[in-house]
Amino acid sequence: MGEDATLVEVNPLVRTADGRVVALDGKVTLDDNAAYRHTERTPFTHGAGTDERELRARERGLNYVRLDGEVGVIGNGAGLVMSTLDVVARAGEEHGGVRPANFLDIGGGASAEVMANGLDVILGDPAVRSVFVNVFGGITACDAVANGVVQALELLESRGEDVGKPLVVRLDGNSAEQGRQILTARAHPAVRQADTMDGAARLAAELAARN
Amino acid sequence: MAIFLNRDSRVLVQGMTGAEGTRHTRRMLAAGTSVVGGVNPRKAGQSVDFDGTEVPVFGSVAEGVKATGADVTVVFVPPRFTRDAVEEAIDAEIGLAVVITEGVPVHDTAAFWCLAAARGNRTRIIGPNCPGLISPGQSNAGIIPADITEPGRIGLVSKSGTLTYQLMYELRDLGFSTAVGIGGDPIIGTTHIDALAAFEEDPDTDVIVMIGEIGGDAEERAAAYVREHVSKPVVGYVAGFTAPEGRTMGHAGAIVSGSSGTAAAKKEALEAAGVRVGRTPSETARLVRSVLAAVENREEGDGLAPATASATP
Repeated sequence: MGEDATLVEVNPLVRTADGRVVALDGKVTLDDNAAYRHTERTPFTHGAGTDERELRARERGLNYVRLDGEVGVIGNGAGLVMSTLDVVARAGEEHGGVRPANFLDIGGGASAEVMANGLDVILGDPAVRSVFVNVFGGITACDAVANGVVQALELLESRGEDVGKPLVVRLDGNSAEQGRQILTARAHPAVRQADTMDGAARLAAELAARN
Repeated sequence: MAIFLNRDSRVLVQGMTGAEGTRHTRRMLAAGTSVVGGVNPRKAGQSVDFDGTEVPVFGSVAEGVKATGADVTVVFVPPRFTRDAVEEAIDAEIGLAVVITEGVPVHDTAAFWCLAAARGNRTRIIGPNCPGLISPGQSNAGIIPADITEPGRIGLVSKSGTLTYQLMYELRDLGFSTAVGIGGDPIIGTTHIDALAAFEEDPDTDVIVMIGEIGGDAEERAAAYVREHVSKPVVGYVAGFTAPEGRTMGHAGAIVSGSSGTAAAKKEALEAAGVRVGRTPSETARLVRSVLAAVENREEGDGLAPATASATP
């Protein structure tokens, strides 16, 4: 309780032939949300055993989980991104079994910088062959997201990074029309737009299979 | 009628004077919500102007309730102060506390959950880490955009905010009685079952949409509840079929541990209870459409009205 643990597990616990009870393994999970009241732990934090790309994402404050597929996914909201992975995997069944390459939730305020960081992490992943940006503008305005995508691509190009991988963008909700117009006007060769989540997933899967 | 929140609801905002609180209080007022006060002990006695509406600031929830008759509070205070804020609301015996704040330590949630239970659950808690709830055309308590859809006869309960918005958007021509975001934390105040029970009793709801995600067994328990206690049609959706074992997917509670908490198991449990489960949000919306059309046809058709319809004899 005092340590804000969410899991304390001893497994397996065995009794040896001579009657001793021994804990052979154990596991403790600590609540990250409570880290602020346990600053004494900070010196022990390290990234060993964590995927290098996940570590880079975490340093930039991104909510990223690496998976084993080919379609990079960026979205807003944990539920929507999880759902996006499922829709991509389903669409991928018809395109040689391509699968989602990651989970990345950019959360509420999808600024250009957050989008740039997210795209940087995903485009830099050699396994990624196409990217699906799936945003439903609730509080987030889609015109800001569209500007974020455009600025992110420009930022990455200015750094000399390859932004040739196809990017499928689906925007709905708050200011979606303005967002789509921004992308249409910019006409970046890598960017394609789709009207629906299912349609965008099919296109992203198809592009990943072809690339 | 709607559930938990209606046009008569009188809403306090804890943390109204902070950036998020101010922004969303303005949106709630614009959506027609009766926001009757804010709470901030350091600014008690002042008032805040929202585009011509003066909203008074009270020193405590109890003061606000006494002065205004408020029966709902929406909590926007930062995570480390959330426990105190919610416990204050419970002490004031307010009927509904909607906790929007993300990142509340789970032991803090456990503490205020237990306090509410010890007081006989006179205060319903929704959240934490949730978008709140909206009864379109009546009132909006939280951060769900009010302009997605109109009043209608669909009730929705969801762990996910953006999936709630997505489904509301796909079904915007049909409209909603109430949409409730219950949050994706490991401990939450109001569960799928609580919302299912309320929608079952609500005369303005004809069909219920239930959105779940990986982790825990809330969907399995909800499925058992549906089988025993819900006569209205329920359509479900579960996110996270592709989630790997042992990884937290955004929401703190969204984790598959070993073989438990998988999306496949949840879908199976729901289907076994007679819930039709969509494979994508769009397919789920199509299922809702066809179910609602069937309900309406039955009501208009042969006089064999279902138990939920207000048919004249």
